[in-house]
Amino acid sequence: MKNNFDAIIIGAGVVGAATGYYLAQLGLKIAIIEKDYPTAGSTGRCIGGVRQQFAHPPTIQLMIQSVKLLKEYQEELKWDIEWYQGGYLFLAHSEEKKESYLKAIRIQKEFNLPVNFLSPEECQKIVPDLNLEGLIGGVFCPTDGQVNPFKLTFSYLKEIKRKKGKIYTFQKVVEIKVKHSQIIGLKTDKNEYFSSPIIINCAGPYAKEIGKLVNLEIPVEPERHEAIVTEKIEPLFPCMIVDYREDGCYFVQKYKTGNIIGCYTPIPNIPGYSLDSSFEFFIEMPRRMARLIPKLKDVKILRQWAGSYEMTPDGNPIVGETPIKGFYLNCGMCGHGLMFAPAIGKALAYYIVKKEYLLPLQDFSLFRDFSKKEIMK
Amino acid sequence: MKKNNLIVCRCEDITWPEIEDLIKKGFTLEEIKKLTRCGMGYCQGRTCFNILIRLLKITNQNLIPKKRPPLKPMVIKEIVSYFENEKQL
Repeated sequence: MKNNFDAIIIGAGVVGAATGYYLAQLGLKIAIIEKDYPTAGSTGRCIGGVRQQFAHPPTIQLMIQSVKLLKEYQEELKWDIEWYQGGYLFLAHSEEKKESYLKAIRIQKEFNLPVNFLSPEECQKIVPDLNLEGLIGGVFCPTDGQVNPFKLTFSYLKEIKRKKGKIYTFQKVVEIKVKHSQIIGLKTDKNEYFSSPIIINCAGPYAKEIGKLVNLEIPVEPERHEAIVTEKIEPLFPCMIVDYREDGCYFVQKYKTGNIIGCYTPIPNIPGYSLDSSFEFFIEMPRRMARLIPKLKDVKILRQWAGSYEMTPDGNPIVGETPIKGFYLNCGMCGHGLMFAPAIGKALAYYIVKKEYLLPLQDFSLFRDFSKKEIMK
Repeated sequence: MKKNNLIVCRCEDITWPEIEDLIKKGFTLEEIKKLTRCGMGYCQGRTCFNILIRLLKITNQNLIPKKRPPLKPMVIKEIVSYFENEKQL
């Protein structure tokens, strides 16, 4: 039968593509069904940061793996994915923030992350144009970095095709077939039927909608985040700068092109699927950037856009099995899909095929207690 | 006009053969934009996409990547001074 696969992935974002890549490496025949074009959802709207500085131990382990995989992928497999380890600098403008960083550093050190708390002057050595006003210090991890979301996703898809996998774009899943609580296949809006004993929900902000097709409640809610990009300029700083103040922001200079790209988390949050641009963000974001790096005053803004964060109640992803046999989740990345994708895709692939735990996936289970929170969102 | 060395995107230095190759491989305009950065440079597609639309004879508006603000590149200090004036009002 032509539409018969070992596993079907819903969503050709970076998470779906990575999961498919590692499943194909383990010898499975893969199909990816995408309702738009690959990277059309959250992947193509993210700013491309990759960090290991988290406070939740399983997330730290996950991210150490991801960084290792990205490095191998670029250096050994020679994929040009614009992976660059420029580091992440988290700024502290209050004693309270410094304390919470120091607490996180103690946990991160247990995993041998080369992370340190720096004085304002030391921060300025990394970012020479940094405004020190009100700054107490910052945490820096030099092995964090950035990657090009498009190149990473499309390279995974190319590898999947090379391994005889299929990518179906502009097709929306409208029905998932279950028989005796075991997945048997799905139907798309083009009236095509695909059969497979395994379906993986990598639908990002739409994961909840896919869950509804099998009457499964998945606690993932989309939130609108906005981003901005400047014109290309000479290299100013190598790292992602994160300002966690109430009116803070985070931004990074793309090392390959020289554009500065950044965003902030709106307070209050903006739930829903809207991807509209707001005027408020357009006037506020440049102010926040120029406050940290005054030199940016003379730089031009080229474009603003919006994307969805797919939030879970505790800020951690939902990965693994569901009550329906053969129906797996790899969703709820809470804005960290790009950085999680390599390791979480590989870990889920190894779990599905070999029942092997490369990472403590049970901490990301749908059945966990959702009341604890990630502090370094 | 010879198309074999025609520069479609001046901001990112992309030629017509590069675009044509991706079209032959089945990529859509949105994907081409993301893979080559054609349309993501200083002009934000204001030059290159008009050339592409003409060369590819595109009439379906849905195939053309969405435009986003600002209409033209804006210096941050202009935006910030607008913000400060607003705050004083």
